[in-house]
Amino acid sequence: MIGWPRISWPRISWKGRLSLTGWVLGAVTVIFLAYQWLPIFTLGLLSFSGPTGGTTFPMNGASFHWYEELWRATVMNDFKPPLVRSSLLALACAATTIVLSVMAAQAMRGQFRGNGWFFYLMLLGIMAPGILVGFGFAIMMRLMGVELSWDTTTFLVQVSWTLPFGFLTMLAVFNRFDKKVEEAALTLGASRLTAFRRITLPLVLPGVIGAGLFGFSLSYDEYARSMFTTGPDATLPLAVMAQLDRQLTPEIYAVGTTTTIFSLIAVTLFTLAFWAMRRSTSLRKSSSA
Amino acid sequence: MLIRRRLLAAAGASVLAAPAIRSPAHAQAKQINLAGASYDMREAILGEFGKRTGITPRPFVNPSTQVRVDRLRTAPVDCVLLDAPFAAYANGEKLLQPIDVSRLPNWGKLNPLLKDGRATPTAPLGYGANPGRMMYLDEARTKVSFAPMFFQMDSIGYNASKISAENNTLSWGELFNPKWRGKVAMFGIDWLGMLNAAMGMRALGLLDPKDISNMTEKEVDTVVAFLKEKKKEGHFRAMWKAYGELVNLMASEEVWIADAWWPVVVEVASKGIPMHYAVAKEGYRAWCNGYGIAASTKNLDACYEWLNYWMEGYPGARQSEIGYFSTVNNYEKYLDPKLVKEVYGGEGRDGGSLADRAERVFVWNTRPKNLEYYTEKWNEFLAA
Amino acid sequence: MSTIRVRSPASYWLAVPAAAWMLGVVVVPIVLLVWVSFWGGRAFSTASPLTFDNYARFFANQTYVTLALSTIVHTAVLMLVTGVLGYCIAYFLVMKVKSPFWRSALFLAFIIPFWTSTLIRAIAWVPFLGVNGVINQTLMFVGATQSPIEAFLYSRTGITMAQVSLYTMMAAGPVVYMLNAVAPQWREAAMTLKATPITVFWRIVFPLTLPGVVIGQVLVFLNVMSDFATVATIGGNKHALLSNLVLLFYEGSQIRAASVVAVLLMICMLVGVVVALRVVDIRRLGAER
Repeated sequence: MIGWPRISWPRISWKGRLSLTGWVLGAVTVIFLAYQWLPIFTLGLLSFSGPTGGTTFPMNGASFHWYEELWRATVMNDFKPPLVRSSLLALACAATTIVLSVMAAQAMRGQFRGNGWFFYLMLLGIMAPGILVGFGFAIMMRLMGVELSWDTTTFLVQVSWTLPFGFLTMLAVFNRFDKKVEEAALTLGASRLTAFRRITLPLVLPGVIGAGLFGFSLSYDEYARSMFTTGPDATLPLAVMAQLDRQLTPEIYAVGTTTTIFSLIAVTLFTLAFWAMRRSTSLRKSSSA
Repeated sequence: MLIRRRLLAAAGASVLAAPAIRSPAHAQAKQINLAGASYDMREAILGEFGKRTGITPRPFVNPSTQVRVDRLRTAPVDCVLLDAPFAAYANGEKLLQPIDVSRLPNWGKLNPLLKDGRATPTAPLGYGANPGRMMYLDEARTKVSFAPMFFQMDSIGYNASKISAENNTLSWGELFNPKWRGKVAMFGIDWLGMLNAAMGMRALGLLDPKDISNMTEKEVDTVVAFLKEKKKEGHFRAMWKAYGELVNLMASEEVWIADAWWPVVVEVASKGIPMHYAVAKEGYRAWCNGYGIAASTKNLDACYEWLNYWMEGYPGARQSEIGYFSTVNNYEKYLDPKLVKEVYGGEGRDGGSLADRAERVFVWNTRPKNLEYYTEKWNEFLAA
Repeated sequence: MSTIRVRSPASYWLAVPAAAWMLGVVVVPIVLLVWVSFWGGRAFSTASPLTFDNYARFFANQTYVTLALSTIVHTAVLMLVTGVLGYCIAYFLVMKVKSPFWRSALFLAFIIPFWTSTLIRAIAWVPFLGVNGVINQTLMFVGATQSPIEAFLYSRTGITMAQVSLYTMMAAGPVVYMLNAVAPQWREAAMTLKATPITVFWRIVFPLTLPGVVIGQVLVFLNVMSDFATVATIGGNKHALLSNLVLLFYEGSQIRAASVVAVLLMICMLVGVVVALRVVDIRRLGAER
């Protein structure tokens, strides 16, 4: 305690101080929660603006007008194809991320020569800013004469973004993983593949799902890399950005609110599945103990 | 076995993700790739084109003409929206192909302002790239680099309840009036924003360029230094690139005066805010946009269909509704006669009739020769 | 024994697909960008001569150099704010909230906005901060100010406010993870040995969570440096940070200048991450002690 300035604290016992810090931190947390959510609520509120409402208050009445606009397809203003494209892309990214990151993490367990470099190579995907990767990739495609398209070039670049996250997740899960269970299976005569398929995978499934979730949501929301690599067909974030360039109407708030609710549902479902799986594996563990 | 299983899984995943091999003919059938901006790639126009010809327009929208021209290099584009100076530039870079005027039956109906470069034989030609002079590629005037479709003369848009203007006339220098600090918006693309700023500065006597549409490096430096100063003072509320942005800014009254375009004035006025388009004291900044055909287009016939559709009158009428003049005078059959009188005859319209406006052109939009220098300096201004 | 033999060829081959993907999609484009940044001439051609001119031009320009520095300063400010805020929130969530239900609920409440589009969340700040926006209207309602404060929107302040809301959870997440790993027995032991709560925190808890803090800061650093959408939307196109500069040059079709800025950005990020990785070895992330 040498060096602490002699501040005369008010005479509160350490228990009192603990609870005081608790209250202060609690206040900070709640205020920040509001800070984070209020813009989203404002967004949601404004999406119900009346037909003449602008993008800020006053609202000029309440209606579903902008949701109708969203649903109605027009040449310039159609969010449905981008939505479909983004969803397909996200699913493909999730699938690829799962496969590649499980493989890569399992490979890391094998500690092959140069796995340090491999690790940093994976990390490069997170470190490199999206605009750079997108820009460089677009130039590469231009030099190679390859046409840019959402289902080819954008997919390639988006996986390079989601893969490191999935990889880190699987790495963390495997780090926590108890090898003894595998060992037990192997000593009982199971082949490596069977052991992996029937013992390891089910146990690390929460991690796999996490990797898939990363793959899906990161790809769904990705715009920096996609900006440079989609052809004439835009993904959802790019369609939103294009709309920003044109008239900003509450329709974009309708888009935002819809996406938020969609994400809410998806996350809740996945979290429940995650918990359920965690509980079932731990129950299994404790019953065998 | 482990390896094989793994590789199989990986192969499966890559097959799922394999690039879709499209046959070029299939992709190009009944589609036209367009590169345009927010003020021409509009629902009414694109939808009608699709209905009439059965060709699906695929628009790429960007406010910067340079970006659209560059897109010709990197992506399949059939028709691109640009103006005369950019068409000349693109031609020089071999990105466009000449348009055969004989394939455009309505060519004869072009407004003399565009055909000859001036509304009447005595009207001023204006500084800069006059499209009527620049678009022809041969002496016989049978080939053009781009087909002009709509035009206007720009000045300043202002909120009449906050700013008063005698006879609806404002000087370009009004943009920099310290009274409106924090309530000004300026266009954010380099060559155009620079031109507007230069006109403002010239009106205030701070700049005397020989050719305002093609400023020397020193003159550009002066403009940018002035702009940086103004930015530091907090003079600008925001910069705008698409007209929807400015509509929002002016409709919420965060911005009172800006180097606006007609569609902005029309829309803001329709929201109940008294916005007017001033008569420019020193003269208007005129421009004319049209379409060029890409050199690499695989769909030449669709391109001519697009050009002819535009010159037929329907898009011209739609553009008149947002305040632009159609270069071809056959819009009347699609336009409410009251609107015709208003827009072209100037009744009840700011700035008067087409003839009035055409008489007072000061400068045409031009692509400066040293555009790269403009860009570098403009980015500095944005970065400051 | 485990399902993968250490240093076996299988482990090597498992890593190949992921490695090839990252090499092809991230490394090659970046190398390409470096190459393009040295191109002389004006045409887009692989035969361009190599020269230092582009770099000389950039660094000779005082405004651009100041911009690079101010980007770093801006990022540092954001790292500090999100770091402190994030730690407070993390500490509160892990240490102060007793019931696991509330802890999960609060955690979810913080994470859910993450699964929504960053773009939409950035846009949501515009009606919030504007002259007619929620903040100004509340302040005027409460009587704190007479006329709306303009400085919130289209300014550096606004950008910072929005970015704090967007990225604090990135700083908090890893800290929550590390705080969870701090066994309560250690704190109890320290307190029985008569350490004050502050000492317990500063000398036991905080050092244990340092890896999490560092990782969180790295995440914030990476995200803020490459964030251009928030800066453009909330800055009103008036402001530009380094990432915006890349886009501005790219749109002006000056790919040489754009590449120079991109390379500079990449170097900044690399330096930041390398420094961070010296402090913490994230390969051991998640491993039990």
